[in-house]
Amino acid sequence: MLLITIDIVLDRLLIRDVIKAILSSIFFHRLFGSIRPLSPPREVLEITYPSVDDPALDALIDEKLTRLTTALDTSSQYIANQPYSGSTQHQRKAQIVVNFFEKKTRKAWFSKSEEEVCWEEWLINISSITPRNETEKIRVAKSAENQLQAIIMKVIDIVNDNKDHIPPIATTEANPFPYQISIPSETEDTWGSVFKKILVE
Amino acid sequence: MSLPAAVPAGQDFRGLATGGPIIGPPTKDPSHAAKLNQVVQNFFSKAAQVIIQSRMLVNPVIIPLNPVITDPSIIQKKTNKWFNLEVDDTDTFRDELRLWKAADAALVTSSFASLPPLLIETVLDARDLTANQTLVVLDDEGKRWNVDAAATAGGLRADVRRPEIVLERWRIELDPRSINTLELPPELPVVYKKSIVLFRSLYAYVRLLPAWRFRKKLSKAKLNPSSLKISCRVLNGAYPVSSRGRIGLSMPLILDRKDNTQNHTFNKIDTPAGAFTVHVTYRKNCEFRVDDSESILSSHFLNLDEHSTRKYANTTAATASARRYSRTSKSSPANSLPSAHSPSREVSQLDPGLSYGSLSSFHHQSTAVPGASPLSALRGTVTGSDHERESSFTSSLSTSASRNITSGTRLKQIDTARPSVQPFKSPALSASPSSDLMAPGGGSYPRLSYHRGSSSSSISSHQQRAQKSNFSSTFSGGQRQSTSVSPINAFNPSAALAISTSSASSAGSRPESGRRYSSSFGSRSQWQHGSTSSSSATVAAQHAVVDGSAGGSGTPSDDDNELGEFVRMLDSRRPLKSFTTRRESDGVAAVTGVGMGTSAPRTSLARFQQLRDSHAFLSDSMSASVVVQQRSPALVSGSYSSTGSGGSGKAISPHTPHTPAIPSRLSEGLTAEYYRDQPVFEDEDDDDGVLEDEEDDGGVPHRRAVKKPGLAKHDEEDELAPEDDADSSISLAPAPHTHMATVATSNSNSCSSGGILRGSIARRAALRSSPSAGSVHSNEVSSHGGHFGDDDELLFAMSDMVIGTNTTAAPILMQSPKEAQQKTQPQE
Repeated sequence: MLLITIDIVLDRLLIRDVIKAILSSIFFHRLFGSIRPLSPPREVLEITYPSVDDPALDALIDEKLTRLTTALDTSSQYIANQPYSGSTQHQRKAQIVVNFFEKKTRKAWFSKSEEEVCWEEWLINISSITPRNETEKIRVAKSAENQLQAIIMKVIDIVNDNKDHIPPIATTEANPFPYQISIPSETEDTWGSVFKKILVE
Repeated sequence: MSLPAAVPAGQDFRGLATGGPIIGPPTKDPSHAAKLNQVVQNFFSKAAQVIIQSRMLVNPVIIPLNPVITDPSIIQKKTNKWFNLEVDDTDTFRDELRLWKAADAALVTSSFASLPPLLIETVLDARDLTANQTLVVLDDEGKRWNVDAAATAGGLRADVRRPEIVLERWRIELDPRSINTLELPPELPVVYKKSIVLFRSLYAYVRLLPAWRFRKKLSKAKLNPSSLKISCRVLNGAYPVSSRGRIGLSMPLILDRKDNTQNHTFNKIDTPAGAFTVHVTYRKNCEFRVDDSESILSSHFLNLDEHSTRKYANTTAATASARRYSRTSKSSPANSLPSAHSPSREVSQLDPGLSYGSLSSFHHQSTAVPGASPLSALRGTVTGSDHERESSFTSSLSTSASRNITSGTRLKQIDTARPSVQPFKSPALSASPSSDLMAPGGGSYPRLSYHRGSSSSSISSHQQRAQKSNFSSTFSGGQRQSTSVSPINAFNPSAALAISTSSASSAGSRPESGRRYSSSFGSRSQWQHGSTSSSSATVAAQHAVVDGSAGGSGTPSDDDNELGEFVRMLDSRRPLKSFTTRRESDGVAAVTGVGMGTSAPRTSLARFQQLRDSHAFLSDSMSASVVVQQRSPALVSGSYSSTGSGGSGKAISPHTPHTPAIPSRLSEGLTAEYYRDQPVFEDEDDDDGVLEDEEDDGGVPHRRAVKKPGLAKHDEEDELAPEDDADSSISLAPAPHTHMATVATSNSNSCSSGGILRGSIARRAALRSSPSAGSVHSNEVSSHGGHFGDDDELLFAMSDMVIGTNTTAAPILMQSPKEAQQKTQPQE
C-alpha cells in the first residue's frame, strides 16, 4: 500500500475550497474508468484543478467537507508557531483520509467472500488558522495559493512516479476501485493528542 | 510534412538485436501488433490533443447526423475516449499529426529510427501588434520587460520584429532504445492502465503551467482580443527547431534571472515498442501585455546624442565626472534662485501655455541659443554641454547601482516613503532659504552631497521606477546607454520625491536619510516645491520666487488638479519633453545659475527665513493632506519639508538648497496612474543593468557562443541540448516527504533519461544521413483512417484489459521489481 501524506496550513475560510481542489485532483487521477473532465474546469485562488464530471462524487466530497469543517471547529485549539509571522497563534487541526481499495475474492473451503484491500491512502493534515488582520489574511491566502499549486503538482508527480502498485483493472465498471473518504475524529485518533503533548512540552 | 525516414525495409530487427530467442507473443500475434500500433498512435494523438486543446480553440469533429435522428439541432461532437479520458475530438493539425497517427510500432521497434519525436510548441502570436504598441512581459514582481529589447540584448537583430514568441515546447517521444529485450515486454493492458494515469496527469498539468494562466487571462480580458493570441505548432522532432523570425525558448526575456525556462518530464511508460515519454520546457513567466509605446518615441530623440554619452559607461569614469560636475556647480553663484517673472502663481500653474513658454525661455537662457525655437534651443543644450551629459550620467549611475536591490525592497521603500509625503506645503520653504543663508555656496553646496548620496537605495528605486516608463526605448536602435540615461532623467521628478520623503523622515527616525539625497534633481524639485508651498503660505511675493526658480517648469504646486493639468500640458508637447527632461537632469547649477541668476532672489530668501516659524504650524496642517498627495507623485517632494522642516529646518536645509525646474518628465506619463502601476517603470533600468552585469561576467558573450556553434546562419534551438534532459530528471525529484518509492523512481528515471537522449541523437543522426522517405509513408496508407479514437478501437483495449487482467494479474505484480531493476540499468 502506498501512503501519501499532505500537510497544509490554511485560513479557516479557505479550507473548504482548497481541500476540495486537492480531493478533486486526487480522484481525477484515481478513477480509472472512462471519465469526462469537468469543463470548464474549476479553479480556486486562480489555480485550475481537474475534476471528474461526476455529481455523485461531488456530493460526497461536499458532504465530507462539511464534516471536516465541523471537526475542525470543534477540535481543541493548539498554540503553535504562526508560520508567517513567527509569532504564536491558535491553530486547529484535522485530518481527512482517502482510501482506494481493490476487490479481492477470497476462497474459503465452501464459500467465496469478497474483501477490499487498500492499495493507496492519502492522508491530508490540515491546520486551520484565523488571520488576525488584513495583512495576515493576504499573506495566508498567498501562501494557500502556493501550497495548493505545489500540492497538485505533487499529486501529479506521485501518481506518475508510482504506477506499479496500481492493482489490475478487473472489471468494466466505471470505477474499478472502491474508495472511501473519512475524517478521523479527534477522540479516536491519537494524532491530535500527540500533537498537543508535543506542543505543551 | 514529409519526413525522411531511415527505415530499412520493415524486417524484424528485433530478433537480430537481441540475438535471442525471446520474441514475445506480441510480435508474432498479428492482432497484438495491430493493437500495439493503435496504442502507439494514440499516445501521440491523444497527448497532442490534450496539450493543444488546453492552449487554443480547436475545431471539433462533428459526428455526421444519424439519418434516424432527424432533429438537425442536435449536433454531437465526436469524443476521443482513448486512455479513458474523454476529450472532444478535433481535426485541427490533422495533417501535421499524420505521421504519428500512422505510426507503425513494428517499424519503431525494428529500426530505432522510424518515428521522430513529436514536438508541440505553444507560441504567443503578436503579429497583430501595431507599430506603436510594445510587447512586454511581466516578471514575478510585476515588473515589465520589453520583449523586443530583450531579444536585441540576446543578440538578435534589433530592426526585425519578431511576431512570435515560443512559450512552451512539448516533446512526445517513443524511444525504442529502452526496450529491455531480456524482459517480457509489458502487457498491453498494463501499458494502457499506466497510460490512463499519464494522460490524466498531463491533462491536469497543462492547466497549471504559466501559459495556461496567460491564456485564461487573455480570454477573460476582452480588451484587445486581436492583438495577442496563443496558438500551437506541430513540428517534427527529427529536425532542429529554428528560431528564425521568432523568439525562441532559449532567449531569455527577463534579463535579471538566469533561468527563464523550466523543464518537466513525465515518468516514462514502458511499452513493447519502447518507452513513451512526455517532456516539456516552458517559460516561467508568460504574462505578456501590450503597452502603448508612444512615450518611447520621444526618447528616440535622445539616441542622437547617445554616442557621446557612451564614453561614460564606465562606472568610475561616470562617478568622476559627476564629482567634477558637482564641484563646478559649487562654484556657481548662490543666486540660482529665480526671479519672478510670472505675475501670479495661478496663472503660471493653470495656463499651460504660459508655463510652457517659460519653460522654453528657461532653456533658452541656459543654452544661450538666442532666437532659436524652444525645440532647437533644447537640442542645442543637449548636444552642447558636457556638463549636462555628465550629470545625467551620474543619475544613471545611481540607478544601476540600485539594481542589485531586490524589487521587493524597492517597492517597500516606495510604499513607506509615500505616506510621509506632503505635496504642498513644503517645509522645503524654510529649508531652502535657510540653507542659502547658512551656506554661502547656497544651492551648490548641497549639490555635492547629493551626488555622493546617489547610491542610496531609495532614490535609485525611484529612478528605476522612472525608467520604466521609458524602458522600451532603451533598446531601440541598439544604443542602450544613451537611452537608459534619458529615462532616468525623465523621471527625476520621482527621484525628487524620494529625496524629499527621506529627508522628512530624517527629522524623525531615519538616520540614513541624508544619504538618500542622491541626485541633483531631487534637490531641484525640492526647492521648487518648497518655494511653492511657501508662497501659498504667505503672499504673492513668494510666488514670484517660485515661478522664477522653476522657470515655468516649477509649476506643480498646490493641488492635484493643477498637477494633472500640468502633466497634460506637458504631454501635449511630447517631443520637447525629452530634451527638457534632459536638461533638468543636468547640472542643476548650470540651469538655475544661468537662468535665474539675474533675478533678485535675496529678498525672497529673507522672507523665506521669516517663514520658518510658521512652518512648524504649517507642517501639522500639511500632514493632513498626505492622503491626497499620495496620489500626485510630483507633489511628494513638498511633503518632505512639512515633516522635516518644522522641527529641524536647519539640519535639513543643507540638502534642500535649490530646486531646479521640474521635470517635464511628468509628461511622460508620470501621472497618478503611474504610481498605481509602479512596477511598470523599472524595466528599462533593469534591462540595462542586467546587460551590463552580464557583460561583465561574460554572460552575454557566453550565451551567444552557445547559440551559434554549429548553427550556420540562423539561430537555432537545439532540441538535443543535454543540459535540458539533465534538468528534467532533476526536476522530477519529489518533495522530501514524498513516499520513498517516489525517490527511487526518480533516480532511476534520471538514469534512463541519459539513455533516451543518446537514443534520440542517434536516431536523428540516422535520419539525417539516410533520408529515404519510403517506408513510413507507405505505412501511412495501410493504416486506418480513423485513428481518432474510434470507440471500437478503444473498446478493444478495455476489453483486452479485462480479460488480460485476470490472467496477467500475477505477472504484473511480480513484474514490478523487475521493472525497477530495468530502470536502474540503462541498457545498451
